[in-house]
Amino acid sequence: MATAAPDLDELRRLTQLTAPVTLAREHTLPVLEELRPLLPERGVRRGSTVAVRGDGSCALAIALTAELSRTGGWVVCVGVPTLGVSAALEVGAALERWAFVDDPGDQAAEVVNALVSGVDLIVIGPQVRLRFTHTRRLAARLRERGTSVITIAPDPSASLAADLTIEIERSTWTGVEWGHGRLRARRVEIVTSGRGAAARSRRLAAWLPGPEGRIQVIGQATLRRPNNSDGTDGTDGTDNTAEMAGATAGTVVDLARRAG
Amino acid sequence: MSATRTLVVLAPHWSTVAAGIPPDEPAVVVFANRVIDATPAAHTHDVQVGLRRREAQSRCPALEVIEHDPARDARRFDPVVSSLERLTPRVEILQPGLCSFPTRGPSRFFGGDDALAGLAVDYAGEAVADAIVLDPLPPALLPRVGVADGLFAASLAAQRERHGTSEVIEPGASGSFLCNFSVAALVEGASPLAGHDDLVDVFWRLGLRTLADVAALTSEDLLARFGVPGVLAHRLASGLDDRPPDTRPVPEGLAREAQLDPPADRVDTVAFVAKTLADEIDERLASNGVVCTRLVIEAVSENGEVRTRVWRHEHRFTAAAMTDRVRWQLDGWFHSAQRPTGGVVTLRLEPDEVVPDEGRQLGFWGGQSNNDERAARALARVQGLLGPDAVTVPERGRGRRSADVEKRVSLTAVSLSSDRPLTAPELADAPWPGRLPAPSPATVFSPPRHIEVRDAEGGAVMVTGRGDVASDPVHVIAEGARRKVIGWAGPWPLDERWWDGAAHRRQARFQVVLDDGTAHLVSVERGNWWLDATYD
Repeated sequence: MATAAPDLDELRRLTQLTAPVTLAREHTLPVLEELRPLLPERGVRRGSTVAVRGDGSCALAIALTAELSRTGGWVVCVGVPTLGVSAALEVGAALERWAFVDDPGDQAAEVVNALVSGVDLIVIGPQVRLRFTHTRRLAARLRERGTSVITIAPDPSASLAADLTIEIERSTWTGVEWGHGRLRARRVEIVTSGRGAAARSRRLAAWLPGPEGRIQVIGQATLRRPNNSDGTDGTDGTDNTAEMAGATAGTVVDLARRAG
Repeated sequence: MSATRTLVVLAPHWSTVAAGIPPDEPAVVVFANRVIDATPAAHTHDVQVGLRRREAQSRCPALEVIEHDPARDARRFDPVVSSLERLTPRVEILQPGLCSFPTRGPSRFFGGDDALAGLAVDYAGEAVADAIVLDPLPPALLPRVGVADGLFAASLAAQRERHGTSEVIEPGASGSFLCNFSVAALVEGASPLAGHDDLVDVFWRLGLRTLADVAALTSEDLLARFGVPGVLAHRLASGLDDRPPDTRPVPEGLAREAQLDPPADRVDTVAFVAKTLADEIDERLASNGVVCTRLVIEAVSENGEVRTRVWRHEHRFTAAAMTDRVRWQLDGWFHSAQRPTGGVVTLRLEPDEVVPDEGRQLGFWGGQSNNDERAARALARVQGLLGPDAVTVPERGRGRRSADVEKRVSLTAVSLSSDRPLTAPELADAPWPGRLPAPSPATVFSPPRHIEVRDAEGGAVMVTGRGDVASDPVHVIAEGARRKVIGWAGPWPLDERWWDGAAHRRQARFQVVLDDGTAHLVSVERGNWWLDATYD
């Protein structure tokens, strides 16, 4: 019986699968596949602070935490008493590993400090105010313990300095007409900016959520360097991303005009 | 290695006695919707331990149902332990209602195992009678005492014995005494195998019906097939000591002591200190690669009164379990006849017996993991900062409106370690016609905020009794700001709980999209408009 010739393609595929490439991933918290294009490191880097602003920031913050809680990580929301539990379940968050500290009062820094050693991600609401001396110490401790923070619509003067800022610039709901229909989907335009790997500002269009109820980043365009050669960064539909983003913006304007 | 000769005192129906229920009243104590203890009167109505609450109530409609309270059970058990301390200072509390001590010394002093067992019945009987204020004690509540080689055989002897006398198994006869018991006895009471019901189930299906069948196998075969629990089952069934022979000498420096200044006269204050001690001990135990199975807790009051108790755990003491024991012990002390005349000044925790940590396979994806313990500790620290009710966990309620579905319960009311369901399983998929479909709002206001909704003429928008809108909503005014409506949908009328005057809600809900691109869920009830949620 003849031995089959080794299938080189198959071997190459196996090499890729078994290569120790998990190193970088260990330093990031897992994020839903659909949201990875938003983040320069394809996940929330451990010890970093992500600021989310604009209409839809709560929904986006919940979505960013969903995959983490599902894979065994703990999420604690400090000063977000209004966060919708049903919305979190709809994006697949495992609420068994969620807890809320609704009113930290003036002890917010102490509360966050106590949480840093035990939980993986802390969501901080817009009302929480931290003093500058506290934020510097907290940031150092966050980096040391590898706990990440998501701040919702933070006051820049009284919160942790963000490593990555995700700003939702334009959000348009579809599905509701004049007296009929229901909210079905929201299309948003997102601008990300930040420090380090996130320094290059990017603009993306996304469904939050889409017509099928899924959150999805649908196109991206680089602001500063449009002829970006970094092919590995793209999603499925990256070949004509610039056009797509343009088309998206146009659609948004159209919808807004019609609705108005 | 021969087993330590042990005397076990079992106070029957202890949870009901601690709750103060006379034996002639049908009552049950329930935990997690299951009956865990029942009075003798309830037994005559065929109410058994293990029944669901509903089933028990259907068998005996007059049944009184009491929630399980381990702290109460432990507190009321303290006088019983004190009464036995007249026989020996080393009484180990296995669980409230069950304690044991080695008989070697006291038996020689009091004239043999039979005499000692008789005294134990008398002393414990008096204490139980005091606890429930019944003299003489009805036979069903008389303490049961068993003496045998090893804790397991002794506790089975105590369980078998029925009429307030004692059962003494001769030295060396424990093996033959055990051989007729069903394998189900392996997981009963304070057995170190408690909770391994699946193991007994497999034994049963393999045709191993009695302990003799298990003892007839070789320990190697059981180890190969069932791991550590298998070996333990073999040891228990053969009448050997339940402790593995390699009980280690307790490493130096495990005991921790704290001075309380000012003296603490509240249990909570002491428990808080105990938590810190327990965490330190837990860390030291872990670094030595051992787990604690027996713990000595000593509390000293400012006037020099000392209360020492030995607590035993069938598996291992976690930091939380140690703190619980401190709370129970002090609760019992503060409420006992010999209560301290001053506050507690010294608290000492000392692991008295340790065994090698067999390790535990932590869940890889979800489940019981190290993460959960770390998070629980961090959240406990936040509770210490802000108060016990400051930390809440989400729970899904039932209902049609967002405010009914979105629930928070205080962390003190739930146990993070168990698999905590977010919803009662029967409700998770229950249809709630009238509930708004996904997407759900990410911001839910509880209570809702008052707003005004105006039509083109500036009048308030009304919804008729038939659920029709009288005029289109054009403006929304919230907190003094006026926004133009660019899209709206509804009304979705809701008329719920009309059978209950107080809970009756009749409202109509709308989704509105405003000119700044935001979408909101608003409702009108009796002419007033409310902002329920925002699709933020």
